Amino acid sequence: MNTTVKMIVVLGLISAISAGLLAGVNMLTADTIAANSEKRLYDKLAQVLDADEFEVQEGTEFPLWLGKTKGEVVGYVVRLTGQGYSSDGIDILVGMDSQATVNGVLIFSHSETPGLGSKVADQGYLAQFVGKGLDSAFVPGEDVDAISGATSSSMAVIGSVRKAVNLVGDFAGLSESAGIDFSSVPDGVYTGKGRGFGGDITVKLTFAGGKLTALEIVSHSESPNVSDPAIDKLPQLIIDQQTAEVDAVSGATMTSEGIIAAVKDALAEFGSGVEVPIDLNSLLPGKYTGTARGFSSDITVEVTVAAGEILDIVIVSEDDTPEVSGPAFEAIVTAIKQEQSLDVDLVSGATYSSQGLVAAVKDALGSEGVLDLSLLPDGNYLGEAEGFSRDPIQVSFTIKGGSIGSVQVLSHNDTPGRADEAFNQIGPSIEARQSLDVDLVSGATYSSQGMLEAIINAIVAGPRSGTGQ
Amino acid sequence: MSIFKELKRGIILENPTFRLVLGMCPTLAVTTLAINGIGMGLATTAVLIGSNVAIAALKNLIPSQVRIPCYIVIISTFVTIISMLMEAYVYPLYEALGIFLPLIVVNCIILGRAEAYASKHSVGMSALDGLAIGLGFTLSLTTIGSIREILGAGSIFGYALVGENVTMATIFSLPPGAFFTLGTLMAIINAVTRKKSPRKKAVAKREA
Amino acid sequence: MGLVMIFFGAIFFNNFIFNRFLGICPFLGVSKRLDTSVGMGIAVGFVMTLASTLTWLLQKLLDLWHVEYMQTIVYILVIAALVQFVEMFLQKVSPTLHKALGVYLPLITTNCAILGIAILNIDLGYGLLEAVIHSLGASVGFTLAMVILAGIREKLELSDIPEAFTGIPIALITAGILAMAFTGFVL
Repeated sequence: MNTTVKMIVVLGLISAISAGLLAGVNMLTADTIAANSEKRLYDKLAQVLDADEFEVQEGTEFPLWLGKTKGEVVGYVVRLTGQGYSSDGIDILVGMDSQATVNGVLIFSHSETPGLGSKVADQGYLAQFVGKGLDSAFVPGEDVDAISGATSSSMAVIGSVRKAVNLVGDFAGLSESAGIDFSSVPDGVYTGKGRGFGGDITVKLTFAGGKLTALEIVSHSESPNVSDPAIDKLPQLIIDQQTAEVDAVSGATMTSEGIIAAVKDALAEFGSGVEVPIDLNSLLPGKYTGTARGFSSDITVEVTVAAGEILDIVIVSEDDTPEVSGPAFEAIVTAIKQEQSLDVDLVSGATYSSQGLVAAVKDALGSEGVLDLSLLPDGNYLGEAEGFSRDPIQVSFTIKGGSIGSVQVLSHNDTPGRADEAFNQIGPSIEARQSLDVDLVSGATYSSQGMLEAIINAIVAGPRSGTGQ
Repeated sequence: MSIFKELKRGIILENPTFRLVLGMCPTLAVTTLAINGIGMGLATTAVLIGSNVAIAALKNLIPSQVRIPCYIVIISTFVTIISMLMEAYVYPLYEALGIFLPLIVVNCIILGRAEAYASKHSVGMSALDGLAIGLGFTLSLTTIGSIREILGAGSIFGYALVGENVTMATIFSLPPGAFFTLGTLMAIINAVTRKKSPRKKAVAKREA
Repeated sequence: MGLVMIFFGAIFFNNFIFNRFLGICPFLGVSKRLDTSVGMGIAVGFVMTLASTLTWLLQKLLDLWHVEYMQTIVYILVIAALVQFVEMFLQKVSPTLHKALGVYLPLITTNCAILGIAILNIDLGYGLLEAVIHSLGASVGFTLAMVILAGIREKLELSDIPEAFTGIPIALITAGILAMAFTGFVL
């Protein structure tokens, strides 16, 4: 018993003393170690980008530093890990100027084969990336060299550099900025978010008559005095110049960048080269038509969508070489229906026709379709929308066997009498026509529109659970 | 007198690498350059002296049933201290030794000396033993490191010995070269010592 | 893909013996006979996988409490305790297995391959599953190296070797030639 106690006490005591010793030495050396490692990192950063100071950017997918000279952002450095030949990965630093053009590349660490894969770490090899940017191609063997015998190492580096360029392009808003043409933005109100110094900045843009007429900063959490110049001046600057490509207000760079990013975010769908993926679930059930150029003629298709699925694709007209395009079309249609995606393999030998068909379907899904009530699943529907009074109009109806019935307005706050009359007219005529394409009741246009919108909202929401009937 | 005897014992008679064949992993792994050999050797020496002294001082306090865990705690404490100091003040060496720095903990030389020497001798003698064995280890590592650096990279302690256009036997910088160098050195030492005293031949054979 | 890469990488490209130089002591000490090599390989693989899992989980605690500098001391104690525990457990549960592996277990605490892989897993930033796959691959690689060397050493017993080279030196030279073969996987 006594020896057991002694054993535990001694071992415990020794452990405690050593833990204390280690904590002490750790305290003594921690600062030096941290300072050293920071210095090494910044030395490396300075090798790929010439800047006075580097600032860590928080909240990005990959480590990103802003290189600053005299307070102005002069470039970016991204740190990535590429998967080369060794399972340990290649740790790469890519320095870029403010336009995401590569300024320098450096391999931080790697465990590639000495003398072979390790050649990718040579400055002679890495120098070829300098000057590459967002518009550059990175095809190995054509645009950039791959080291023969060390293809996977080379590919890892090439891929990482390209990724770094794209990341910075996205981060700095360069990729999509190429052409947000303000005059092409449809009239309306748009909101968007961008990250400023203290958090997200939300902006509201009003377009009228083909130009930006108002830019309101709805919310932000920037530091009051520092960010004021940007918040005061920048919206007017953007309105005056009718572009998001304005210079940051000096002294409030981060805030300025946040506002610009928010504007770009709001208008993202109009930027060139940015494809908004089509969300099938957001499409109303119905038929959509679209056209695109095939091999020798335009291809027009009618796509039927219901419950977030592409049910059918009918080729309305095409004039491509039938014996070639026929089977290709069939294959593509089957593939799209099966994958429920436009990302399908093209049919070799009929590439143009296949591409044309896919583009036509894409065009169709992007268009405003014709709502087809018969495609709706059975059940009770409930929806609401703003009416004349800005209070919600609540509508319910049922779908049974593909036909709409019992269209009722449950509650509203529009002008009594006049609105009720409109609702009483529209309901039956929808049921009679089995379509929402009905005449609005004059004198109660807003109420009529509100009711139709409420029905559409109900359709989007889908049948309510626990359907009676 | 006894100091020299101790040093001779540690460096030559009981050389941990060539005579006792202990601590092979760091011996093979870090000796691509002479400087790494010295660094590893000195780091191990420091741990060895520290743990020998601590264990000799505490030997009457530690119950024999838990002595191994106690030794392990003491050794790893010194290893961690050394590696923190190295990270702070000699970073390039710290980086070159890499994982083999914390692995000094499992270097059989250290636990071996704790068990075989420090737990039975005075603090002063244990310190001397640590120094002697440590220097023996350092000397072996530096020798191997120098040979590999000269043959593999054509330099010694970073100073180039040959022109740039001379192709060196890179294999000596790679893992196989570590095995070849150590194997050949051991054979040479065996040949020399066997000729000197036929009695040791039996010992060497048994150890092998 | 990543896991497969880690597994085969640990066997061939980063073989513990021939490339990372971890576990050389048992490699030279136990590789005189084929059957003991297999036994040692299995024992090491077993403890390695267990230790990797345990130390990976412990590292989360160390990170949580910001005492990363306690890594070495905690790991080695855990490994020592684990080896003890495995030995006791085997003795109770499967005396046959204990008889087969028992002799190697005490040697394993000071086998740098075990502590090595525990630290490597953290250094390489592996997740738990990756760490386990890595240990499995490493132990397969370790066993492979041991078995190959043991096979050759059994034959060497019968060969006429210069006297100075007998024993460890010739084993090292053999290992060097094997390492060249393994370097071939990398190149």
